[in-house]
Amino acid sequence: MKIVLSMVAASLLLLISLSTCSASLAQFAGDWNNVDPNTGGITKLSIAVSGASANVHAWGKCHPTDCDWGSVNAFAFAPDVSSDLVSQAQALMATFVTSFSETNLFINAQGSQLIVQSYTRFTDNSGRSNYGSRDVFKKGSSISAVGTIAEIQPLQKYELQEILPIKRKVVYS
Amino acid sequence: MRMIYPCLAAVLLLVLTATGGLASMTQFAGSWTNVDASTRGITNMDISVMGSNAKVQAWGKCHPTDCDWGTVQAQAFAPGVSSNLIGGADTLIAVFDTSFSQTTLVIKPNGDQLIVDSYDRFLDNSGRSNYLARYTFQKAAPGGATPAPGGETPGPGEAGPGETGPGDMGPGDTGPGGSTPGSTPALIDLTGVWQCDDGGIYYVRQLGTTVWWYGERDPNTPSWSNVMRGSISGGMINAEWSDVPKGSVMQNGNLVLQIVSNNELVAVSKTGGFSGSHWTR
Repeated sequence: MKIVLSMVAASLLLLISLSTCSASLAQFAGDWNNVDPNTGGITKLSIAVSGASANVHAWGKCHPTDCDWGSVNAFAFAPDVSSDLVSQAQALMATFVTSFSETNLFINAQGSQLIVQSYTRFTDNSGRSNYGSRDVFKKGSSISAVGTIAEIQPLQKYELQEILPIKRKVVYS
Repeated sequence: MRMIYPCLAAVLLLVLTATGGLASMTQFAGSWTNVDASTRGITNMDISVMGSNAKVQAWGKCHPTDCDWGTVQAQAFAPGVSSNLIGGADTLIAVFDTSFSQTTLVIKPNGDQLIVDSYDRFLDNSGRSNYLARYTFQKAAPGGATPAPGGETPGPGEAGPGETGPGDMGPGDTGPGGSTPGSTPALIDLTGVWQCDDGGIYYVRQLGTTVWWYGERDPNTPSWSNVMRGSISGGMINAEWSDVPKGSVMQNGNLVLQIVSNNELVAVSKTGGFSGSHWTR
């Protein structure tokens, strides 16, 4: 009996672990909070999924409330050219463009978290260095803190950055 | 006094370790080879660095020599907005565009290797899925990295950007940088009798870039029989097919077939209820 129970438990564990590992577009859906409450970059993500399409809404650190970057369509990526994107998507790529910068987010699912690599490129000849960061997000409660357009600030707190509105535009279309 | 030496040693070790882990533009420079010699994706990269600028040239798997994707300007990224790019760059992003795809390479150093995440996105409504592949590169042996010139013409099963990676081995339609990975490979000759995983026999004739076939479930009273006409482009066959009334099923649709090799075809897109996916001979 013990052996049977052990086998059942092992099978269940295997099943759970496989379920966790298998990727799909649905696993990206939802509201996500940066696990680092002191981040100077992206604080929250809200990802909507419909069929093989995904839409990413991002918020950056601002005071007194976070800045709304707006939402953009994201591209989903499967492990293989013949894979089904809906059931096997393993990454999203979303691009946010402002008048002075372009930020690419590469979003990967890892267990119950999202690993987000963010690459910001400055297009205003300000001399600022392009920079990248890696953040971990976990599922959060609904997003409530939304800044006004006048409060929108760059992605991190640096002296030379300016306060400019976010354009809602996708580059890779 | 005894305590000072271990502390000093620890600090020295820490400094050395930190120095070893520091990124810079120069660590990307050089000729790089995929550690997986049998990769069907990116085989080689040449990265040239001047100041904070970097250029990336890439080659995809092709036969008899690899396909030159051309050279693109890469963007360098540092850990912070006030970091010095030359001394602190830890990522390059290079984008290769073709008429039918866009490939974004995210290149990161990992010790003395490079980890490359390749995001391939299709723009041609072919039904192929965007896909992500990860490759590891090591510094090439002197004189051994750059494929020989004249390797722009891919053979079957080879690739331009957007056509490489797991499960996708067809040559590119048009490689950037002036190479022509999409030109019809002279080496392809599909004419012959093929078997398919739908249990059928297919009689294929290739005339230049045009491919015809007649397929049937069996030669006497087939449950289905069909004809196909397609054109070869970029290692793919874009085709229309239709059942014909030797069999009883009457359907029709489109097919996109990948020419994996002279002896293997794989369907990457099917409409009309076509069941076969894999042809060999």
